[in-house]
Amino acid sequence: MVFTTYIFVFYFLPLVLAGYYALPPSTTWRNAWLLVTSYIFYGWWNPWFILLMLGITTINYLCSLLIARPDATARQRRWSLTAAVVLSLGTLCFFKYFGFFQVNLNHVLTLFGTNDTRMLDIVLPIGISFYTLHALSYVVDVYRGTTHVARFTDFACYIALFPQSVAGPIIRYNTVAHDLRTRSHTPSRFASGVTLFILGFTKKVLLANPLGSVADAAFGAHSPDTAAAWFGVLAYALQIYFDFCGYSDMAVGLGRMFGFEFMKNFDAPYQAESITDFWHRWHISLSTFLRDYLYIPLGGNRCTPARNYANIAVVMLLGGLWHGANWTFIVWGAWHGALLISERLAGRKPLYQRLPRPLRIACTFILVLCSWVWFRAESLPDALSYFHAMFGCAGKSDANILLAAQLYGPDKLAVLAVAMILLFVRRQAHEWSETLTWPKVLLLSPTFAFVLLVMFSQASIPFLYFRF
Amino acid sequence: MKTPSHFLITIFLALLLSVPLIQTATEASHGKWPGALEVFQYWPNPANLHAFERHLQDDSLTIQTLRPWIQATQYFALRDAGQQVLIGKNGWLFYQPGISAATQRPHRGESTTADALAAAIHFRDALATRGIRLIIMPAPNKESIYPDQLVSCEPQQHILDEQMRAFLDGCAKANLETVDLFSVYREARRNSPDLLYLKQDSHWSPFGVELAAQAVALRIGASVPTTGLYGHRIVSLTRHGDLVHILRSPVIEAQLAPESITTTQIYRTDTGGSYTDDTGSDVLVLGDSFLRIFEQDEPGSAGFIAHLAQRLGHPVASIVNDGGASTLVRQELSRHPQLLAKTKVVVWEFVERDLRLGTEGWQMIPLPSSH
Repeated sequence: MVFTTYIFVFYFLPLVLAGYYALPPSTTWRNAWLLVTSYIFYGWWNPWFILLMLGITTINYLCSLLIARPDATARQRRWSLTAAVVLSLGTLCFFKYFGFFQVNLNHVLTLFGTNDTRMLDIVLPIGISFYTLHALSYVVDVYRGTTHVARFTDFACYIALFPQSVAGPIIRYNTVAHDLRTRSHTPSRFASGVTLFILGFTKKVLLANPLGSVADAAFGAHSPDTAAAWFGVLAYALQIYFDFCGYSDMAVGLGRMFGFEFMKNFDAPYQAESITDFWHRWHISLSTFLRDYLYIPLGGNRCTPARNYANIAVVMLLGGLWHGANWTFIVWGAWHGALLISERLAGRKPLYQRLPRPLRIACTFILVLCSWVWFRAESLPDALSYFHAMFGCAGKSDANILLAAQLYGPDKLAVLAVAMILLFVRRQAHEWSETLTWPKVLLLSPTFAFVLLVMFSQASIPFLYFRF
Repeated sequence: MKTPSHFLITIFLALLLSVPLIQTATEASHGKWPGALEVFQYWPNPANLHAFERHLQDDSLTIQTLRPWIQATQYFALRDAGQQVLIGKNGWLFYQPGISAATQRPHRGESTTADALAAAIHFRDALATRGIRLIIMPAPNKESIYPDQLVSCEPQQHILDEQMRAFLDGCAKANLETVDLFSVYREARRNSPDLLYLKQDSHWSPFGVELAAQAVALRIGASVPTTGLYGHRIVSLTRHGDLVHILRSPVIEAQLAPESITTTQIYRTDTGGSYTDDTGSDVLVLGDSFLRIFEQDEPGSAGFIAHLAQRLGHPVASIVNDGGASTLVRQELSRHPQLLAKTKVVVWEFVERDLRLGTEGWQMIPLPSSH
């Protein structure tokens, strides 16, 4: 089920809210209700996926019990943690990377003149990358002693919780442990959740979806000219931001409606003045997860400079690979890793540090734009040919005359202009939703009605991060 | 309302609840169970769940009522006609999937030029074993002939994209007989103010029909139009084109003036009746909706088939399938062997975009047994 669909907005959400607030104000009952409805939400794609989620939940919960046993030895605790990590990541790797492994194995076998192995057609369960990390964060935190063992229903509710289960933000157990046990519900908190939900909904329906059609046309073109290629990657940069940021806003907003407080996932990332700054603002829940559960355990920056650079490279490569089983994501991670290392070499400053701030922002934005080419392209050759087009080396095509009609319509240009302006608005959705005033409410109410009307005329377009 | 928070929550919940309540009340007033309960009638597998979700949305009274108005607002305020149609200049509309077929790389599962060429050669060779000649006529996409009505470019610019160019080159190399309507129409645009395509439709105009029929008749060898068996009369009509209907918005349709079209209807001079096919003809025409327009649609007998028959001086046989010229017409031919009994020439028309988008691709279809 997708947040911006008819069934979610008009049937699922009202029913879940009604059931939730009709139950006695005990977290036991309400968590159980959220657990059941979250499984329905998740199982809507494929009911069999619920078993997988339940399996990951159970394995990690059992491992956490073993770790937290008072009489457990250090060795038993270590083995339990290892079992949780291996089984969880093994499941993730099987569903997400086995096909990728097979394709590359077949390439190598072909080089040596050996027959291909038979390809298995494995369906990627939606959200597995996110809830696997959720589960692992819990087990690791129990191992580190930074969190206590939860009740099973609370833990299962945390893993399945529908606002964040399929595309984040990546919530660590210890940040919601308190909310799972006891949480308050006030009209102002609920209304701030509604505000964020409406803002996220608007970003997705009014901005991300129309920009997506521009990006799709440019990246799918036979041979776009230079202007079309830059226009396309700009549209994609805006699409992925408003799509994912919109989703995150909706997730945080829904969380607030049910009394949870999730972390902010974006902080005006395209206002970043360096790549280091960008990663403090983009997909914050992932970057902090990688920092705390991978970078620091590897040694972080408390080691030799060479080891530190290697740590950054490993983290960014794995971060890239986490997004998808494709060499394009690995190169995207490598691109950002190389830029982060270059800034680390220059004392955590970009090479263009001496430029005025607007130019530093512009330079960072262009570097990020180029990285999105790797991220969006379907293969490395596609990415390279797109770079050729961006830098004026593509061949000419009669069809580019028609491509212009698909890219530069007045509706598309208007959406792009609005999106560009919103990028540089100082107050982001989170801050805006903190306090509600009458002018804000009088703006939000018709906006939500209007966006629902626009949704009626759009095809259902899933969020980009559902595929990761 | 005490505070802004209370007001916002009330509006939010009212919007969320109003749609299902209206729907349920309407269904109840018609004596129906709420459609939302249908989810419990079927086993919850992905197909059933998605079908339920689709039905719930399609049956929504709110959406049915409001969508046409939203579409009209988007159409007239933002010139956004949705995923199927692009708005050009001066009231011209264009079929977006056709444009995408020209601009975009093929998706997995879509046909390629090589598939089309292989099917054409296979068909030609199969017909040749029976002494039947094949003439292929790709009908240009509207935007290939009138790109200047879609985007800013040189007046009378035309487009021959890489796929069509490769197909025509491939046909020449394989000695496949083709009628190059791209050249015919290019020449006509230079010399005549008459439109070759309808503004609101994805198909050709009566003038485009006549030029195509003339070109094919010339290729077949009937260089002088025969006037004995058939006469013609002018029939005017007004209609909205298929690109208006495809929007499925009565509001837009009401706002757009229908297009006035002057067609030339073909009739038999001996009976006075409109042109009709003869399944025993020596010319068989296969094709898609380009053959249907004006022929089977109103006014009837004014399309490509009737005009070709008039120029040949005798009726032809035909198989027409909307969007199915790539494979479905040949499948239908294989089910009707009698159509080939006296055939000497097969004319095979398909629209340019079908190189990529033809229904069922470009399959190799064996000819029916000659017995």
